[in-house]
Amino acid sequence: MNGNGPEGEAWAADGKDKAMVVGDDELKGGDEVEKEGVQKTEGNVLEVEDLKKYYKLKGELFSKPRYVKAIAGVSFNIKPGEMMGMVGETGCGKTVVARLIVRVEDPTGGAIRFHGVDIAKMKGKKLRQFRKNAQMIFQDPYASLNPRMTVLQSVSEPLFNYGMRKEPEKVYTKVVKALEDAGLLPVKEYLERFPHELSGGERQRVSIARAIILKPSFIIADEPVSMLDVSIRAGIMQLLLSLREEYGIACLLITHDFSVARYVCDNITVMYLGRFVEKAETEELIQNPIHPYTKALLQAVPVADPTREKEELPISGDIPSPIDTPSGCVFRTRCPYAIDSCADSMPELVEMRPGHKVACHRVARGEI
Amino acid sequence: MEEKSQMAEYEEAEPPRSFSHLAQEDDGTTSVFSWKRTFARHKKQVLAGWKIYRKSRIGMAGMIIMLSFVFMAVFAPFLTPYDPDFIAPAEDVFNADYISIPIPEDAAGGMAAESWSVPMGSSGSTEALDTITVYSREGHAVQFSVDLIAAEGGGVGIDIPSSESYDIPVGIDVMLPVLFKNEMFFAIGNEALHELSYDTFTTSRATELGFEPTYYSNLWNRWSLTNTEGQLFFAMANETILSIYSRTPDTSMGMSTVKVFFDKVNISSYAETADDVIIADPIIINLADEENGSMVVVPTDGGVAAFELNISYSGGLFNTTDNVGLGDMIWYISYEDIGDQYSRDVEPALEQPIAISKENPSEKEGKNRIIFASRDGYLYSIFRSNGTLEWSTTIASTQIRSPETMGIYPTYRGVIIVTGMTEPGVGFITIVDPENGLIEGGGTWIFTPDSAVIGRPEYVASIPAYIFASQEGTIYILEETMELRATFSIPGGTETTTSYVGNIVNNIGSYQGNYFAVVTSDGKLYAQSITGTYVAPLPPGTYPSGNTYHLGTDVFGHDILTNLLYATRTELVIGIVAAVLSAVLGTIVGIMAGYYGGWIDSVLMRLTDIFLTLPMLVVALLFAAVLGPSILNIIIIIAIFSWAGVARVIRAQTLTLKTRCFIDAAKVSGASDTTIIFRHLAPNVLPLTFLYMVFIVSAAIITEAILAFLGMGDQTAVTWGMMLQYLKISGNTLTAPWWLLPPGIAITMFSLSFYMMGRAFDEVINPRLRSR
Amino acid sequence: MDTKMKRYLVGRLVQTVIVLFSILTITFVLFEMLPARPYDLLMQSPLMKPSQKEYMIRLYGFDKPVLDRYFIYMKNMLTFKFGNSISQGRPVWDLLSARIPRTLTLFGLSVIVSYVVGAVVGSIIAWRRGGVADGTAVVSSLVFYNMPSFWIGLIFLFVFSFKLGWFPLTAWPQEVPYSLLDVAHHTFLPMITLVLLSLAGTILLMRTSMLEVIGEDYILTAVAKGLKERTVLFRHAARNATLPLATSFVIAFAFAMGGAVVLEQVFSFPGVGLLYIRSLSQLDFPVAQATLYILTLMVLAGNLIADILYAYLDPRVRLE
Repeated sequence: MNGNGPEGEAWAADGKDKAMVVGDDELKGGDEVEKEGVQKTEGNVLEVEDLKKYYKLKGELFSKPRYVKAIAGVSFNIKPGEMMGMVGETGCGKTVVARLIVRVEDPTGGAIRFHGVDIAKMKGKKLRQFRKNAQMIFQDPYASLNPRMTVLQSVSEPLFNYGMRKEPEKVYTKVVKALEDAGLLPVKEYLERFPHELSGGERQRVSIARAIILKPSFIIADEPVSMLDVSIRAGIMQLLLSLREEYGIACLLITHDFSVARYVCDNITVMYLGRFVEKAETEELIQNPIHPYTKALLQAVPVADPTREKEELPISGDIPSPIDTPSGCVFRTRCPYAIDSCADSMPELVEMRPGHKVACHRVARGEI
Repeated sequence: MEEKSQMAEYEEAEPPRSFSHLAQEDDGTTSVFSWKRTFARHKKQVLAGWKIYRKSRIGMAGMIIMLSFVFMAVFAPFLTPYDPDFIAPAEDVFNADYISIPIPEDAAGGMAAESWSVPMGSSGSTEALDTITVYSREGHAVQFSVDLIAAEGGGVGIDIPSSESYDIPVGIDVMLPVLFKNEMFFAIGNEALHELSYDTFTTSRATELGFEPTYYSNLWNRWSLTNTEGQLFFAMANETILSIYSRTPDTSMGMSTVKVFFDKVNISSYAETADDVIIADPIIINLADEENGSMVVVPTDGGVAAFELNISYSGGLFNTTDNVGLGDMIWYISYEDIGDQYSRDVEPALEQPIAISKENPSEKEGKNRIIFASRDGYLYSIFRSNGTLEWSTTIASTQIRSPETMGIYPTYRGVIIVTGMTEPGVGFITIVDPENGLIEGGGTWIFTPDSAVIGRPEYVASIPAYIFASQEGTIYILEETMELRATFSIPGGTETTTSYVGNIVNNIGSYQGNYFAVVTSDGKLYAQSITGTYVAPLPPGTYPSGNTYHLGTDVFGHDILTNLLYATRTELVIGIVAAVLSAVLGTIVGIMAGYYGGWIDSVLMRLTDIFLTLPMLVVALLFAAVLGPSILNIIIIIAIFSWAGVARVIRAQTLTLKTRCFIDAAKVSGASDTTIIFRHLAPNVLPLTFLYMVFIVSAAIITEAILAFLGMGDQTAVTWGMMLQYLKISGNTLTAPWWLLPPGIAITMFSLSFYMMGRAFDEVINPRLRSR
Repeated sequence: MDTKMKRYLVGRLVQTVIVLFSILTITFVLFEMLPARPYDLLMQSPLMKPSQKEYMIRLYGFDKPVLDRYFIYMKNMLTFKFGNSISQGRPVWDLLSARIPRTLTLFGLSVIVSYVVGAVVGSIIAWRRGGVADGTAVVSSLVFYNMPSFWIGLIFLFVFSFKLGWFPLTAWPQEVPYSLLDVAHHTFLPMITLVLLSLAGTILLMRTSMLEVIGEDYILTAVAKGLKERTVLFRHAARNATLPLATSFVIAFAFAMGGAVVLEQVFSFPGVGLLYIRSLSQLDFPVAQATLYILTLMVLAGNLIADILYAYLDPRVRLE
């Protein structure tokens, strides 16, 4: 399941060749990228270090500006072909992470490294070259497609953005291939359809086709199935897995639904109020959740087993406002295990079991 | 849970379940770019929109009305017989009144009033028409006193309150009023010339002529620096005798020194004219202040002869005339000579073959030629001083074919009037430049009345117009360009056995520009206003000229229906151009503000707010005062005030679109800002732009109308607003509903149609408005 | 008044001031661009001595550079120092003082009446969508909305003053002293014309807005709850439907002002608008500038009041 190993490398090498074919004229600064990126194929596809995003609030006149700490410093790595899951409730900041990584928004601090090159502060043409490496699939399958563009237009657009205008036949071939890979068959029937003529699942597949057409090494899927009917979800998830099989594309899956994450992800990170609270390999996390929050989340997942006993884990209260986050451990206001000392500082991720990190003072101290 | 976003909701009005009918026929191309594909794509979208639009009754009604306007604009020339410059002819627009008064029977001593003459008018000292006199051969004269009054419906009318009858010497053929300090009548007949007093018609002097004249010249009333009282010169002739009659004024330097001179020659006594017969009136050619050079020119059946007119003065303090007499023949040119020079047969015009090139008695200039007209329409120029030929031209043209020239007459204007008959027996009248003999107006100043021109046409400098009568009994008034200004029929026409038509315009004084033609017919005197009262704007109907004005005319005589139709073109241009301009500008601003946000947004939005809250009309008037009125400026002004509304809406739409992730998706896919704006934002914003464009057309028309009405419109353009403005200026607002209603209705319907179309289109893009 | 409201008020006031300044600047530029100077008309008189001409130039400040003139202009406008009329020789204020209340009443009253009536009528016909009343009201509103204002005025004048003689031809009583009744009699026609014009737009807008509101679920709930139709109509639906109306008020105000100016011309109503038009054609600068300023002030003041009312009615606005 991992992208490590010979298959992953083959893909990366592949990616390099394919990347150079797409529209050379625009890629002046990209040559460096190629060299650097490719050289580090054995390294991580993505390295995020201490990523921060604060939003400034419109202040009263003459008072100090206040901030919303959407992301308060997260770090993680993704290896080639790895499928990482990020789970959390609405408002925890997972979408923001996604948007920062693809640079739809600018981070307030921290580093984002693709194939070793920090793109956190990149702008303009250089940034555009990097975009080839990372693509994104959005939550709302309809809103992510331009309602006035046909499937053919939407999927071919990324190629045009990188200068393939002069080779329309080549583009056509690539589009057809991408749609095939995305499972939209027969392709010819779909080419001239508008988004409103497609079902939700089909639209998402179009988005996926658009995302893979540039042969990125990394895709972020932001709640890709939450707006789809349950019966269709499996298909989409299967598709993501098969993409990893064929092309070795690494994936960051963002979701609030553990069952989805469980289906595809190699490992799962749990997020709360802009901070990571637990991180482990999928099965490990689901079987042995340590952090109180994780436990609560998992409890809420309906399990089709009438015999299973429910462990009551009361979390009280609502998610606090991200403007005035609680001092110290942000979860302490709802944590049943919170004590006074929890307010002192934000806990770091500490490895409690092999490959299983938890951010909790009391857990670190072995108290729970 | 599937949350539907707004757009999803509305474009899914019919959720697609089966796709087979939507599947595109693959055209086999393996290219991303394909016109067939692009066309099919757009067709699909347009048809989908049309299906929804069709359902709206308002929309369909609006579209139908709009299309009718387009039809009107395109087919305007076919929908109206008049072109846009058409002005109703004078006969429709002038109301010419006449009054008639019977010539009292007892004036003729109970005899049949058959031989009443051409009436003469005189104005006495006030220059307003004073009296009208008619006389008969039987020895009677009737003098009508004339009052000028205000006529019904405006203008000046004539009233003839009384008349007096007088006896005059029997057998008078011709009577001429002599004015300017010598108020008298010359009465010629019975081989004598009587001077009749103006008031009492009593003979104050009679001179025996020794022959019976049949031709009479112009009356030269000569005055000069020293001789300001006016010495009269008058030539008379019959077939063989040419005579000159001259009379000094009544008083000169306080002394009564009337001297009468009379001389005559017999042309048979000259070799050149030995066998000739005089055929028409002689001309006295006078050169004021020069004793030498005056002559009398006379046409014979063989040629044109010029005789010296000798005037001798004794100088000194009292400049008195010693003698006036006819001297030798100065020159003679025969028709044969003329014919030889041009290899033609030359015969003189039937009634009056010669004319001096310019009529003004006191000017020397321009009188160096005598124009001779031959019967076949050729004109010849003869140098006055020596009788040699200068040039020859013809007046024959496509309009005057085979001319049979009747007469030529000089005018004060310096052009020559030529009258005659043309095939097929219809009269013509035209103007010719005496310098070169060519028909004025590049050969186009020709008029053909209903029949032959009778008598001598007159030129009235102060109207200015040409006036003559036709054999059928119609009085014509022509512009200087020979275009018809007005016609009037003589009541009774030519059915009566004897009718004399007189145009006495020279002697009829004007009363603030009103002229009258006075006519005797069948024992009655008719005084017809020539200039008439202006009655435009005309209500709808058919008028004397035969024209029908379905919606009437405006004050200038423009047919309202025609103006209405042609204005549609201008309105369409104004509306659409202004709308496109504002929409484009507003969309650009809106997208920029919405997409880039930040300070760009703030600045642009401030700007938009300012333009939105500007009281539009108030500032627009100022703009118009600065820029000047013209169609382009009005379009610009409308655009300046309309873009802000569009910008605001487009910005809102852009902001909404920005929240939809396809914009982000495009960014992630590597699209540059320009790509996002043009490929993603613009097409999704354009329906809204188009919607607002339609509304702006509607508003633009009304704005233009208001600006025009307030006086800031383009004077040279025809628009409905200008029509209403002219209505206001001419003061006819309350009196001409046929002028008031159509433009306003047109504006309303035009604006309404676009507004309705906009509303329907709004339902297409914004499904929340559709009926449930 | 809570702080949010206060902040909103201050914000709007600042905005109004900015807009006022911008408009004044724009009009200053426009006046500068006019192809004539204020003293041109007077200067044409051959009796003018050179010293007098110089005085004129100095009086109107044309001996100073543009920027100085700009500041003087701004200062004068803002302190309401309008100077003297060139064509009439009297202080501009004299000319204006009687006219301002007249225009205000004509314009203000008609807008208010039309909005109130329009809101009521619009909501009622929207409620009974598709009925005969709906159809007629919509069609006639559409037609009146698209009629040029002056034309309706002219027609009314023609029918009611000229043909029927019900109302006098002049829009203000001539004989002094005049009673309120006289005033009402004379001003009825222009008033009714203005009302009709604004009414049309208001009805249409209200109807649209009502239709949207009626579609909302909470109306359905109210009806399901068993509330009387009347209550639902007025207390719930209309209340919320008037809010978009209030936004349009801003733009409508500016249009109504334009309409008032034109109608003053048509009916010879002695108000500020008529003075403005006359002064423009006479190039009587002081009067033109002053009237333009006053008219703008009226519009902006109206907008401000409308915005405040709107914020009062709809709390969401204050959060902007």
